Formats: sequence, C-alpha cells, structure tokens
Amino acid sequence: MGATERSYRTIGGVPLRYLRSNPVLTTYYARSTSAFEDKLDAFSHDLARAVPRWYGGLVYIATAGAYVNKPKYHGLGRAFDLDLVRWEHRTCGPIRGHHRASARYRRRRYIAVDALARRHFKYVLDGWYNAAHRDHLHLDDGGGGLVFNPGYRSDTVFIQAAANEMSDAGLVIDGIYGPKTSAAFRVLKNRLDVPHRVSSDAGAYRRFLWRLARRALRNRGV
Amino acid sequence: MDQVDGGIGARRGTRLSRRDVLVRATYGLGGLVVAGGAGALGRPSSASAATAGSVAGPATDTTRLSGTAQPRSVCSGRSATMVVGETESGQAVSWRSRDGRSWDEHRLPPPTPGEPDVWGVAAHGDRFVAVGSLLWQRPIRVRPDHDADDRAAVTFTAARRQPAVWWTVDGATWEGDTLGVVDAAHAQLIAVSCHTDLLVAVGSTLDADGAQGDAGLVLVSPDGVAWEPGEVSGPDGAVLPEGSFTGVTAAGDAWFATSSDMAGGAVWTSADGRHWSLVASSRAWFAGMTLQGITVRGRRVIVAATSLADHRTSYHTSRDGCRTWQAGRPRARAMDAVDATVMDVGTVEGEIVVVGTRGDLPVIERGVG
Repeated sequence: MGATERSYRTIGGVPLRYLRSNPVLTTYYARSTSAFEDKLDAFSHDLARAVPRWYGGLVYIATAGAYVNKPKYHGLGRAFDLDLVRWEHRTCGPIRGHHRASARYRRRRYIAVDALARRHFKYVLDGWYNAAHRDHLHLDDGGGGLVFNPGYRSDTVFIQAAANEMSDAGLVIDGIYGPKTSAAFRVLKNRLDVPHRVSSDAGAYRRFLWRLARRALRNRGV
Repeated sequence: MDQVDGGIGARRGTRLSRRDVLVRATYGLGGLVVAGGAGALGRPSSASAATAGSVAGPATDTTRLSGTAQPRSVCSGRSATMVVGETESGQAVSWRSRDGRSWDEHRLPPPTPGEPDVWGVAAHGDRFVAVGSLLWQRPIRVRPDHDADDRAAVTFTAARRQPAVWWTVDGATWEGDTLGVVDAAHAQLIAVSCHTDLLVAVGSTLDADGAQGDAGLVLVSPDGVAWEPGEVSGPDGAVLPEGSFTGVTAAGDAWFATSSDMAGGAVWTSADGRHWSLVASSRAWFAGMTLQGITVRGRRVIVAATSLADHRTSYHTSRDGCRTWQAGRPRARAMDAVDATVMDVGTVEGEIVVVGTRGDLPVIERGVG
C-alpha cells in the first residue's frame, strides 16, 4: 500500500482548497492511500448531509495538507489537516480558531465538524488537545478501533468540550477522564438516547457522534 | 549476508524480502534509465523493473531499488555507502554497497520486542550508526456486552514510542538499543550526523497520544552508546507544532539542523552540537515547506525541501552559514517529477545524492549537484 497511491483534488466531490500560502484560494492536490481517501469521502458526505437546509451545499474544504513526507501518519498517506469547511451560507473555521469563538453557535459548529470527523478517524486532534492544533483539525486513522477511548487525551478533551458547549457541564478541559467527565458524558448519552457502551460498540459511538453533530449544527443544546 | 549482484532481477509488486536487493548498482556506473525524462522511471515496464537498464542520464545516475521499500537516509563511510529505510512490510533495513556495483540488504532488528522505525544513518569512524524509534503497542480487544461474536470486538491500543539507535561494524550485522534518556512518553529520532567523534541525533517528542510530533529533540553522544539530551532554544522553546527536526549535519566548526512543522521549515544552528538555536531568517525563507534533509558539499550547505501546497521538491543552497539562501541548485532529474518524494539528501564521494521514492518505487539519485 503506497502512501501516495491516490492523488485527488476533491473529496466526496467537494473541491479541496489550500489557503495558507496565498491570499487567493488555490486548488489543492492531495495524496494519500486509497483507503484513507475513501474515509475522507465518507467524511465529506457526512458534512453535506448532516447540516440543515439553510447551510446550503458544501462549497469547498480547505486543508493544510494530507500526504507530507515526514514521520508519522502524514508520511504514510493516512492523515489530513482540516483548516476550514465552507458551506454555501455557513463556515466552520478551525484555522480561525472557532473552537474559542465568542459566539457559541460557532463553537458548536466546530464541535459538530469535530464529531463527524471522529466517525471516520480515530485520531482527531483539535484545538482543545494542544496548542499545535489551535488552527486546524488533524485527522488520521491510526490509534485502533473507532470507539471512545478514555485513555486517549484526544478523545477525552473532545467529550469535555462537547459537554461544556452542548449541556453546560462546566468541566475543566484537562484530558483526564475522571468522575465528573464520566458523569457529564453519561448525561449526553442519555439525552441523545444512545447506549452507554460507546467504548466497546463502534456503532453506538458513531450514532452518538452523529446525533451530537446534528444538534450542534443547529445550535441546539443537549 | 544476502548479497546479489545487480543482474539479479527484482520481483516488482512483491514484498521485499531479505534476499531481495537493489536492482542495479549505481555509483560510478549509472543506474536506471533517466534520460527519457519523467515517464521513464515512474512506470517502468516489467523488463526494466526486472533488469534495470544501465544507462545514466547526462547529469545524474539513478538507481531504483527493488520492491516498494522507502529509502530514508544515505551516508558515506570509509569502506561503503549505506542507505537505511523501510520495506513495504514495515521492516527496518539497510542497503550497503562497497563498490557501487553490488548491494546487499540487511535487517535492523528491534532492540526489544516492538516495531522498529529507522530514519537516519551516519558514519562514525569505522562504524555506521542508525537512528529511529521503537514502537511498543499493547492491543486490547473489547467485545460489546451484548454481542458474543468476537468479530464485533474493537481494539484499543496502548502505545509508547522510544528513541532507538543501531550500530554496525561490518555494515551487515546491526545491534540496537532503546534510549531511556527522554522523559516524554513518546519520542523519535529522525536524523544523525557525526563530526570529530561527536554524534548528534535529532528528532522530536510526540504529543500525549503519540499521534504527532510536538517539539524538537536533540541527543548527543561521544560513542553512540551513552546519550544525553541537548538544549534547544527558539522563540517558542523547542515547540514544533505537528513537527520535528528532520536533518542534521556539520559544516566546519558549526552544526546545522532542519526542522519542519505546520508553518513550514526552519534551520537551526549550534557551535558545539549540544546547544541549539533557531536561525530566525530561515523561517521566512522556508515558509510553506517541509525540509527533508541537509548536507554539506565544500563550503555549501544544501537543503532539500518539499512544498506543502503542491508537493514540489526544491533545493536550497547557503554559502554563509545558513544566514541567506539561494534556490535552484542542485537539480535532480529522476527525483524532480510529480510523483517523486525526496526523503533525504546527502553527500557521497563529493557528490550530492538524494534518496526517496518515485511513485512507490525506491530510488537513489546521485550527482544532482
């Protein structure tokens, strides 16, 4: 399996753009493994179908890079850095620091995109994970099964942020899965009517993420 | 030692075993046809893949290795040229040539149970020293409560990555060890260089989940056995978002290293190999690029870079201790194609050499500068 066996400029039919080196949007030619591109396609499809009608269609997805010949998953053609998602009438901009936007609807939209990415990629590193990801979402498919793993900081900070934004849990986002985080997560799962076995049942976790994302995209709490 | 001369055919599309070897000798004799331009190497016929035609391009010599391995680093020792990399199946391997005509491939064994990852190699006296990391993973399978079918089980992975070093005296038998001198849960070494008996290895520590590099790492050693951390000072300390040090070399009395992160590349310098600081002007010059490696030829310091936006490889030369740069030289032929990926640049017998892949095929190109 070659790291660059696929080269493409759209994912799921949505154009890829690069906006880091030029004020003018430029077409981005991504390279990755075939399997990884398939996952990106599915993610793109989710971004299009999860939104309410007033968002409009997906216009483009801006990336900071997919295959990069450096160590770890970018070098394996199994990683993607997401800068911005542009629908016709709405935008989610990790590159603009939307996880810390003053408007809650923007932060919830970020939660939604983050959640939809987790349906396809085990490692989603976001603005709460560390400072390196304050301006993009890193997606890769290392890390094992697509279930919630309380041992992963990347999973735990996401749930803490989601609980804060969606149900006013008031958690400290520290990446430590303690009793308060567990209780807040339980509330989210109950209210979204999802079984609690999200750490062992990939279907249940994906369902949780989908329902969470749909509510967040509509700026509705849980 | 599994040694085969260049006439033995490679089996394209099959995994590279220890008995598979470089398709054709390169240095001094020329390798695969590159005069035909971009298409010649990227989509070889089965015949060319198997027998490796032996015509050199007018400017460079190119060797395509067999299989779909990834050569990652090259260096020149007293008695041989050494390349290290990884096979398609994930084995850490070296390829050695004493005469530029025949090559032999050897495995770098994991020092302890785990998955070795080798990235850099340097000559150290009569020895070669390679660096990388060892990934220790503990899969945990969990089956849903309601489901007795084990196929429904999911896997957690507990992991730890430690820096690793290997050395060989005969160029064939490698011994390795992991280095416990780094406090971080995850760390890796990417490149190594030697100067006046001091070995300097560079790489990165990784983030909490071990998913991405997050800060530069320098280790130094007088003998390749005992290592200690160096010091890195930049505007943000050693922080390199999604990044790592990627190359290191010595030029005269100074050391230079390359790094790559989300913003692009940068060059770092050290007078003693232990205390490192950023060459601030390099940030602007290498914005939007990843830097694959650094080498010295005469008074020139040469860096290989790849654009983050369009993956194009470029080369950059400095004649003033990495303060200012010029783009455009040296110029590769086979490795200057859309589907080429440069992994490292080195100097062998006074000539600039790049290693990497063309398509999925491993390539060494010599004489590019």
